[in-house]
Amino acid sequence: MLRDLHRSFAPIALLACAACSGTGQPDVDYAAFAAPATPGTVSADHGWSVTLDQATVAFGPVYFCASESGSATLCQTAIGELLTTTAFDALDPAPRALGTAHGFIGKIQSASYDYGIHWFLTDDAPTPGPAAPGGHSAHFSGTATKPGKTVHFRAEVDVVPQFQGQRAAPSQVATATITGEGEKLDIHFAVGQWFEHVDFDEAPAGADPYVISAGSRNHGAIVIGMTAESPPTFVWSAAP
Amino acid sequence: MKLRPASLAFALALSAGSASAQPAPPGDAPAPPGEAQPPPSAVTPPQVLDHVDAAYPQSHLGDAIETTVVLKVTVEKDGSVSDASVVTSGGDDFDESALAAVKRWRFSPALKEGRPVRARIQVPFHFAPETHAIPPKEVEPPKPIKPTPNVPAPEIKPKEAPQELPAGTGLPHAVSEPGKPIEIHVQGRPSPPRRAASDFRLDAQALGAAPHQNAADLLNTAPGVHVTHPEGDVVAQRVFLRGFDADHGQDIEFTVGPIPLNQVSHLHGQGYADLNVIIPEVVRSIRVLEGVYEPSQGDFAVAGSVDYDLGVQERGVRIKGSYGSFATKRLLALWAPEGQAEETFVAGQIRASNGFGDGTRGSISGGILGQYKLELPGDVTGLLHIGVNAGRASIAGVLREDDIQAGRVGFYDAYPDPSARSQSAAATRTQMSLEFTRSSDDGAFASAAIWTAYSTYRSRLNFTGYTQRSRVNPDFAGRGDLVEQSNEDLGLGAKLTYRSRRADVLPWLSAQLNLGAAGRTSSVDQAQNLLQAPQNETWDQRVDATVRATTAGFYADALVTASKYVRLRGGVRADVSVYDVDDRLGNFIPAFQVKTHIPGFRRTAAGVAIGPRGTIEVSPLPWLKLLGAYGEGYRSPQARQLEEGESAPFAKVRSYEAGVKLTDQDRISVTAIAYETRLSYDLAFDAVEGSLTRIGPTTRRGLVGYLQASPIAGFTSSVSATFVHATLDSPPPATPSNPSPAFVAGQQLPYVPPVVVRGDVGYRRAVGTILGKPLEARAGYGVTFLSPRPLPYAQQAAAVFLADASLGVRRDFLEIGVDAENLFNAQFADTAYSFVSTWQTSSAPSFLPARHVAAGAPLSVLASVTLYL
Repeated sequence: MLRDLHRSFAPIALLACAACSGTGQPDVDYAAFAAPATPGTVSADHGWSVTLDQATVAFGPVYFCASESGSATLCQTAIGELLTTTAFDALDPAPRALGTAHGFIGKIQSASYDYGIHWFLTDDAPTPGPAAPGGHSAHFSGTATKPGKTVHFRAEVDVVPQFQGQRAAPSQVATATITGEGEKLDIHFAVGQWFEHVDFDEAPAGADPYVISAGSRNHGAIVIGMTAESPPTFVWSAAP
Repeated sequence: MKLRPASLAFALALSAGSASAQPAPPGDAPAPPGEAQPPPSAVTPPQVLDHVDAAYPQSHLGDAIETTVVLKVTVEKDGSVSDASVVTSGGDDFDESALAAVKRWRFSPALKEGRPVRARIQVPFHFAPETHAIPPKEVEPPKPIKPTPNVPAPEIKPKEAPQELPAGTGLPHAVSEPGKPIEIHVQGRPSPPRRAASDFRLDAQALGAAPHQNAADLLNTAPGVHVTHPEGDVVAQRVFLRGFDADHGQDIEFTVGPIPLNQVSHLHGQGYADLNVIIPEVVRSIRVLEGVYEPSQGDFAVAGSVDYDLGVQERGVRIKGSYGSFATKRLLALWAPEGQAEETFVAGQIRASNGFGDGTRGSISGGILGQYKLELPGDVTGLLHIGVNAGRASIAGVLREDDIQAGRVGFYDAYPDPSARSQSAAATRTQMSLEFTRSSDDGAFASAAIWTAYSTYRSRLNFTGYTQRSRVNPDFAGRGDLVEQSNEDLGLGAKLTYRSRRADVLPWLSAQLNLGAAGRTSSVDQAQNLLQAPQNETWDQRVDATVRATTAGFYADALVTASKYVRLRGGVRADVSVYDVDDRLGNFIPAFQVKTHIPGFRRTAAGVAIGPRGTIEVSPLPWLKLLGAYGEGYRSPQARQLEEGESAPFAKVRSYEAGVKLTDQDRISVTAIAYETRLSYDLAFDAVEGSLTRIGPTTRRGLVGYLQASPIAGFTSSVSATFVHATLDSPPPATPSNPSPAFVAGQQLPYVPPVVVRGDVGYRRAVGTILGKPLEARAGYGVTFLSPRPLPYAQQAAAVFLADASLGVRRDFLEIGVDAENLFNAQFADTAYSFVSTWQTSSAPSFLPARHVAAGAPLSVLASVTLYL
């Protein structure tokens, strides 16, 4: 009976919608992929050449903002987001699906994101997500060489948000205009460049492997590389 | 401010005030056998001791019907009226009104040789609406009725034959000259002239067709109005009217007589108007003027105005007990003293309910409402009004639609979270007014009223979950966005109106002038904090302020009647408002800054709003009226948003409409209206602050169709359909998150339903007798349809179809009834929102605006037993 009643009102509803022009900014979903660059061998400070054997990186969540600042203070409402956290092999250049980004059409000017460790407003302390490898943001191992020296190293990197409620990378330029006409998002990671400022001269003699531990200067250099000097870049393009 | 014209009906009297009866003419009805007729000259006619007013039928208000009803009344030996019949009909509704009134009159009995005897007299009632707009006809007083003492009462077998007398009755203030008719002035109910085709008058019959649990829900009967209660039983209703989301009252001026219900600068919403102070059983009629076309309309009359008229027609004591779904209990006691005017009554109610859902909607409330109308010398009447209401309710809050769809929370439940389950509200309102009115036969009228109201409000609402950080101490974060708001308001005000006598400029042209003034001053203390449940620990302060607002307004309103075909009404209104704000958290010093001053920002601001209003009504045929109207109104600002010395930026509204009304012998009327309203800036709900924030200018264009039909006695029906296209006219204000909001021309306003259809049907009739007493049955049915409502980000809320029904039977003093609301148990969103929230129901918080709903009540049944004593 109720269905019949609703049906009887259908023409009126149609009349109502005939005049609709919408309230603007329809929502949109698009796929997001990690697109690591093949690192090869990277030149680091003090003449070191770095070759990575293993690089597992946890990435997410990511929030996109219409304002130039993506900080949680200034961007309390996002225009797009990728809520999943995914760990991927950053040495494999093949695109890896990170999940589906949700959002609205419109202009994006900034992004903020975590590397698997979050400190949401409701968390008492920074907390690794389930996808974080070993509870860390990233795991690397490789070899650094320079004439006469070889250092095998391993790093468990924690990219920790500085404040409760902030992202680890609180604001980064990311520019796009989402039209809702079949976009996809590629997130490019230049993993090798994160080691450009690691000073392998600090490796203790005889340490094999040299473990880059949290709190060390070289750990900080990697974190800065991941979040500031060589952060991921966000590229939206037409989906194939 | 409302114009309260004085009398709308006056009974002209009664012939020959002579105390002596005339001889019975030959040929009159014979006396019953065995009854000797006394000489009429020996009979002293009855005199009126107590009278009640004959009410002008609401269904004809504004129709300009002027008519006379003559009744033949039997006065018993004890002075009561045992029988009354119509001698000269003025139309069914007018006859009923006159009969209803005269049956409650009390006389001194007729005397024959010093002893009481039954008597029959004639009482004419003259009904004249809009006495200021229609020149009064010279009503020929009825000729003296020659006594026919040998005529028995026609329907009641007389114990003895009543004496037929020449109606020598008079009210206490009647004027009598020997040998001339006595003229009786019956103080009637006000009938403001119609200001537009969308000037709707809802009488008790229309309001009572479908069940309505409170005074706010009565408004659903009006075309284009939809009332919701998203924040429970105690927080004021949310009203949608003709494309306006009036929220708690920001766009509608609510009044009860001279008392404005809207509260200025209320923290929870500008113009907050709590209608819970009105007990629905004492609402006699409601005037809903959709648009701003009358100069007496004041602050907040943006979408229109609503005036509640209180009165109790059925006199005596009424006790009503109700029990129903969700352990809802309600007790009503109502006393309307016999022999007093309908406006005199006292009523009290207590209500308690567990509410639907999982135990987070319980409420307790109660109140009293009383009025006393007194007749004073010199055609002056006074009306004392007192109302007190208080209540507290738990609130379930809103739910994310994605959480409902994922089964993380039930549609009727609340989040299993201490902050969500700590939501509540408590509100009180105490109001009082005293109004004096005086009307003259030449159409002149004057009134003076003073009022005061004291209101308190405290709510704890969490719309957004866990998104906030303390400003006072930024280390406090994520403790739950339980926003506590408190608002304490003491208001005083006065209203004065004067209407000149009717000036007959030419034989076909008459005019009157209305002058009115209104002033109010309010002192408002308000605070907003963030609390951490369950101990209500304060972890941030957002508002701590005192607002003093004073508004004075006056208007002039001309009423011109040019022949019987054309009427012009209109004038201009001006208001000045002055605000004094003590914002104790103004010039706030963030924690990371060096303290350079003492926080606080005291400021003053003022503004003026002036606007014309006008109406033209053309009646080329008796059954056809064409109306056009234009008006400019305003809404006062939220005082805390004003800067020092700022010219108070009133929101200005411009309304236009054209309408046509067709009536068929007062049984059927059809109204069609096209309208447009433009608002200089609109307000929209901000979930983070739990209050209203500015958006840009808006426009509404719409069509209204309204059909009323009462083809047979006891049956009433009405159907209305309102179509509106509401648009935002400029980009929304930039925010830190969105410095350049997307905007396309013609962008729809969110939340308001483009189509509102409402139907009400009621039928009441005698169905038989039980033990010699008539059994009366009633049935009512109301339906509401809301088309899909646009939401922000191109989303839409689902269409809503609701049906309510009511059944009841009454025998003598006992009535049993049952009301059912949401008859088909539709699961619907009472209100839909779109904003950012975090309720820890996902691994990572979302910062995208998401759809939220406040659940509407499922099928609710309430059974009641009423005793009329």
